[in-house]
Amino acid sequence: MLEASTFHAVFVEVLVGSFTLSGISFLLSIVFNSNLKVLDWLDKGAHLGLFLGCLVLPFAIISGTSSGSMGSSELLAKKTVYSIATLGFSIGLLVNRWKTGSDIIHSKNLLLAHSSMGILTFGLVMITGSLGGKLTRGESLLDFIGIGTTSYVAMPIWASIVSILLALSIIILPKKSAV
Amino acid sequence: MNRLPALLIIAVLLSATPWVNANPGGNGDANRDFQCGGSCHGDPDLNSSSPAIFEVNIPDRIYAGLSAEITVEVTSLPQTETGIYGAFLLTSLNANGDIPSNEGWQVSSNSNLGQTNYQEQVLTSGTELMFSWTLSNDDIITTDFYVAVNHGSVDNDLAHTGVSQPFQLTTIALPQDMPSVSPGFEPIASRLVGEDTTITIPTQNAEKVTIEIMGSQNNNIEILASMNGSQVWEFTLPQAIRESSLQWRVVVEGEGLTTTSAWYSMVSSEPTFESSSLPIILQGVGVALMGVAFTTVLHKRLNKNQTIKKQYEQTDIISNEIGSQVPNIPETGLPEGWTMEQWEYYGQDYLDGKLS
Repeated sequence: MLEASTFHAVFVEVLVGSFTLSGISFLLSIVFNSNLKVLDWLDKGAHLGLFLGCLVLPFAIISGTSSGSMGSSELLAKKTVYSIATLGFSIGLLVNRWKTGSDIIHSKNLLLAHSSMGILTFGLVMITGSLGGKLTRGESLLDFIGIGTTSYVAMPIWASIVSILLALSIIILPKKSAV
Repeated sequence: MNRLPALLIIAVLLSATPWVNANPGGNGDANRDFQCGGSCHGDPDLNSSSPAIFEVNIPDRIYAGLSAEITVEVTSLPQTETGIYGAFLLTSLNANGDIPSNEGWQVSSNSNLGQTNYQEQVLTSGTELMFSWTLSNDDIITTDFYVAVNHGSVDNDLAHTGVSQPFQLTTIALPQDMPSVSPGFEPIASRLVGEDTTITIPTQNAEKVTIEIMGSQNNNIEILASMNGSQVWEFTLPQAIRESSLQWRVVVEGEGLTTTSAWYSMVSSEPTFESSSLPIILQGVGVALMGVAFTTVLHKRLNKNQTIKKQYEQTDIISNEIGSQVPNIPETGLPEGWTMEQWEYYGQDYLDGKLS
C-alpha cells in the first residue's frame, strides 16, 4: 500500500520541474524583451510549464495535507496556504495570458508585469518546497536567507471570507470604462 | 455432590493467582501508607529485611506555615535486579493513616518534584541514594516521623524493607519579623523555548533574596535577586535552548533569619500550534483569489493603456494627410532660409504671393 507521502513526493517532483521551466522562461522574457522570435518561444515555454504545474498542484496539495495534520503543524499550515496561493497566481496568469493573447509580448510594460508575476509564482513554489524540506528533514536551504521562516499568521475566518468576496467581485463584476 | 464443584472453583481461583512478589517493577510515586512488601508477615520465604542505613537531616527550626526540607541519605543499599528503590515518609508504621497529611503536614515537593510521601528512584551505580521532602504545617505541633525503603534483590524474588529510627519534627511560632516569600505566591510554571523569563517575588521582612537553581549532583546555581520596590524582588531565568524543565527555589534572608521555599518547577516547551483545517484552507483560497484578482486588474490596466495608445496612435494618418497637403517645392528649391517644416505650413501662402 503506497502512502500519501510517496504520491506527494512524485507530484512535487513534477511540479517543481514544471514551475522551474516556467520561472526561467519568465526571467529570460525580461532579459530578451526586444527579440520577438525568442520571446515567442519563451512565452510558450513559460505558460506550458505553468499549465502543467497547475494540473499537478492540486494533487500535490491533497497528498501533502493527507500525509500530515495541518491543524497541528504550523509548517504544514503555512505550506498549504502558500500552495493554494501559488495555484491562484498561476491560474490568474494563465487566464490573463489567454485573454490578452500574443499582444503580451508586444507591450514591454505588460510583458514586464506578467513575467514578474510569473517569477513571483516560481518564488512561492520555492518557498513551499523549502517548507516541505523543513518539515521532513528539519532544515532547508532557504533558512539561511530567512525566507519562509516567519511564523504562521492565521487569518480569522471572517477576514478570509471578506477577501474571497472582494476578489470575486474584482474578477467577475464588469467594470465601466473610465475613458 | 456439591463439594466437588466448590473445590474445583477454589482450585481454579488459587491457580489463577499471579506468582509474583510485591512490585518488582516499582509502584509509582503516590501518597501511600506504609507497605511492608511482605516482610511484616514474618515469613522468611516471602520477605527479608533491608540492610539500608538511614541518615536523616532536619532543619534546626521549623516555623509553622513555612516550608522545611528533610533530606534522607540512604546507604548500604544492595544491588537489585531492576535498581528501583521506593522511599516512604511516614508518621507511623501502622500501614493505615500514616501519610504526613493525616497529621496536618503538607508535602510541597520531593526529590522527584512531586508532592507525594512515597517516591521511587533508580540506583544505577553505588550503594546510596538521597531522598528529600519539603513539607510544612500551619499548626504548632510535634510529630514522629519514619522513613522506610522497599526494594527487591538480585538473587531471589524477595521483597526487602528497611525502616529508619523515628525522628521528631516540631513547628514553632513564626516570629513577627520572619523573612519569607509572601503567602499565596504562585510562580509561572511554563514558558516558551528561547525566551528569557523575569519572575517577580513578593516577600515579607526580606533583606536579601537568593534564587537557587537545582543543578546536577546537588551543585545548585545561585542567582541574586534584585529589589524592584518595597519587598518585591525580581530575577531573570535565562532562556532554554530546547524543551526542558528546571527547578528553582527562593532563599529569603532578613534579621539574621533565613527561610527556604519549596522547589518550583519551570517547564520550557516549544510553542504549540492548533487550528482546524477550515480557516487554513479559507485563508489559502482567499490569498489565491486575491492573486487572480491582482493579475486580472494589472493586465486590464496595462492592456487598456495599450489599446488606448493604439486607438489614439494616428501619426501615420496625420502624416499622410499632411503629406498630401504639402505644396510642391519650386524648381529653384526652398526659399532662402526656410526649413521644410516652415514650407509644410507656409509654402502655399508663399506660392500664392501672400507673403512678402
